[in-house]
Amino acid sequence: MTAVSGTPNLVPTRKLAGRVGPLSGIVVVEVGGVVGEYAGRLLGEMGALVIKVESRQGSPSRLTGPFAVGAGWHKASLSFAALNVTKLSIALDLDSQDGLDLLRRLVGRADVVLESQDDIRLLDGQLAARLEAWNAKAIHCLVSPFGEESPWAGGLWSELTAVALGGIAGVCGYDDDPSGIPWPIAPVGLHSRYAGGVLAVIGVIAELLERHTAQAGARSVEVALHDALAVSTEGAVPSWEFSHEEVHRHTGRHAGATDSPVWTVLCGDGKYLCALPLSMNDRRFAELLDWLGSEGSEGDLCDPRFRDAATRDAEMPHIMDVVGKFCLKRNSQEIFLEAQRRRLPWAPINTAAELLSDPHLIDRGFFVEADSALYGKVTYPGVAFKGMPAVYETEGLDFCPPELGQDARAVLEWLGLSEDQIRSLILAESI
Amino acid sequence: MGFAPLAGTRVLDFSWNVAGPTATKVLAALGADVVKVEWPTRADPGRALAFSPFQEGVFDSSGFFSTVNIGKRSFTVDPTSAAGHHIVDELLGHCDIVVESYSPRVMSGWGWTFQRMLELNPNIIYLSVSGFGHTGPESAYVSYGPTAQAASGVTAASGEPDQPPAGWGYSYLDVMTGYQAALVTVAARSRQLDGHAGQRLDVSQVEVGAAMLGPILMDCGLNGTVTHEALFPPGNRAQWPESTVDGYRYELGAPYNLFPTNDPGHDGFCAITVLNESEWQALKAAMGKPDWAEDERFADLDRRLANQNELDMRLGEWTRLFGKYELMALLQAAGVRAGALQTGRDRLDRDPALASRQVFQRLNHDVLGEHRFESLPVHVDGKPLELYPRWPILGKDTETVLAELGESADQIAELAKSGGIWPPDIARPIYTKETTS
Repeated sequence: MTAVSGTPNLVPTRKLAGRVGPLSGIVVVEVGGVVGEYAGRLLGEMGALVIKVESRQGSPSRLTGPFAVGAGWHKASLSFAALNVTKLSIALDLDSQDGLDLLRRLVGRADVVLESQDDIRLLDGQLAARLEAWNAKAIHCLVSPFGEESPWAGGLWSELTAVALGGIAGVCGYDDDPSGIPWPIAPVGLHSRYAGGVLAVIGVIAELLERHTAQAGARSVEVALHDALAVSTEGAVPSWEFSHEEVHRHTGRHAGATDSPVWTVLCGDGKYLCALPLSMNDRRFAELLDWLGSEGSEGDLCDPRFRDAATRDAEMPHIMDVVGKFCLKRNSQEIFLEAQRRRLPWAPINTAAELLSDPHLIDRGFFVEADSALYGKVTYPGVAFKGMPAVYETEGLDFCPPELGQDARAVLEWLGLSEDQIRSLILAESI
Repeated sequence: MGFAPLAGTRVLDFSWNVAGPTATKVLAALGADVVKVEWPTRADPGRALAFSPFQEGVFDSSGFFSTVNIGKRSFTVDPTSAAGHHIVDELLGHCDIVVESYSPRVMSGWGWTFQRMLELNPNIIYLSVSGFGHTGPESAYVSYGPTAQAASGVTAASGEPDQPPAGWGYSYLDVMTGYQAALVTVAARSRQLDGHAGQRLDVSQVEVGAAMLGPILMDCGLNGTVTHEALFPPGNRAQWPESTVDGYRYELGAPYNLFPTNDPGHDGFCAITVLNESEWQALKAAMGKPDWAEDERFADLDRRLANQNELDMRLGEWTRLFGKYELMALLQAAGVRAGALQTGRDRLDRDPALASRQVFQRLNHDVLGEHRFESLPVHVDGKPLELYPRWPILGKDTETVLAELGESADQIAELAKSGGIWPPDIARPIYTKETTS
């Protein structure tokens, strides 16, 4: 029988205490599948000590691409890294009594037990029932595709089915005209986990706050990815509820019951740009006209009829046509700078590679770097807020993606196991 | 209300449009007293947004605005007048959290720098929500949701080859930034109760977007992938043989797409994703093992990936025999990951999961009457959070809030007379009491 696997003797471990952030001192034990991994990352970024309990095979997200090329064929998953940076990893064989016992001891030390219930259902979905005996004070945060109590509970799920059911896919894609492509196109990413994860963490932090002030007892917090997406598509639901109109897809623009002027324009350097004509008030239009006029590209827009806001709105497709011809002859960066100088809310459609050298993001200290033995030099996106300390400010902590079972020894020592006990667990391959 | 960890927390809310108000909607749903501050001549533009059954000029008839601003009170004051400036000073002294989503120079232009706020209230939390953030070389830039989406990289990464990016059909970053901002604000409130002095939170939409690009950014940095020249898998595919990037849907399988059904209209699709061999066998069985599916071109994942156009076309011929929900049920029962493409109406009227979990809550709005509103879909102790049925009817709570500040009835009457709480040249709407919660 084996209970704990991995290579706890070989890889240097990370420190457990002294993490910087508003959740410093909070212990999160993360278990189960993958849908709550982003929630775990958010908790870790805010300073919580997040101990990720994996199976001996590791989280399924270790098997999803893209992969670090230098690490060899499918050895180092970047999606796993992005979702699990800041965490510690311990791999337990939960089919063994030793492994189960270690899980019980870990949960016993937790303030929050974060459980993902998806294709993987830890302890046949009975973890919550055991918590009473294991740790009656811990917050149980459950993240699942459809929720615990739901006609669709336990339904099969993937990211694409989630964004189809949740509403994102239906409003994204190209203009629904005969010459366009009628298929909806779901934006790439893990949006169901992002939306569900951030709401789950709001619930957890709110619950921690309530305990802080009201000495409330144990509570469970539960979020379904499907629910999270369903309320996060801006106009689509209210449009039906209040106007009995369904919205239709428009290329890179708000889906709506009526058409809207195209605002994605191609620039001379081959880049697309968002030339947003929303809120085109008198001041903005005067700026636009002045700019186009100064380069002899105003076409007929100086016609007095365009001074009237209603006429402008009605003829916006024509105005955008003139703007499109203007942009086609110029560099996107040059347009961006001049538009913003004139306080027009335009921006180039950047790609990820370009962001890495973006002076603004670099100036704000957005990126986090780590030098991982397995991955190589990794650059992560950091936190999307300033003004509150985050774990990345912790001295002496590295932010390498946790290798499977990497932190087993440190975690077991923290649990108070003796050297003999740790050795015997390793020998039994329980960790 | 039940779970209300922010009960007693006072939020002064200058935010407008969608991102900031989404954050304060979350705070209100957690029990905070959110007072939305506006002046009728430059009220929240969201009040004029769509889905209004009433004529123009009414401030409180937008269904969309009412969805994003549920749970808040409304206070009218002109911050640019001397009297109004004084009242805002008082309010800042009296609140725990102040929120705004203007472009970065507005609040400080009115005189309320963070330093000034600290003088008025040493423990204050000041949250700004903006496109580019309040520091850095682009901090002065103006932005709406689509601007930030373009700049952040989340617009670029999907679409068809040789077409502009398909992008987002709404201001996704308004919604997600609202959630992120609420999250850090609740954490900051906890620190405030621990005695932490003034906090200045700066949330940038571009960073919220860029953070969600995680693995893609890392792929570019580590592997040198050049995304602007990359050939992405077309449409909804997880992978494509000629692609120069590795998926980015973080799942691998074929078929993996949205498929047409016999439901009419432009939304009659069902997502089908086959992520392993046993699911492929299950799909074939569900189709009755047609000859085409046994063709060796579809025998394993690599060959299905290589022949995806043919595969999707063949499968699409079969899926067209069913309605989208019928197909979803049939495939789910057979062990295949499938989900109907749902519109707004579908989610409201045809989705048993959302209905059973009370994700949309039916409430009686002061002006609009009974409607379903999007909740904060977090269940605590097995129960959904219930929205507080209150909306910021423009100016409705001004006098009440002034009284809470300690202003006497005479002072309030004097202020009203001098046009300090409502501009004299605009009619102040009066709504009947019986529709008012």
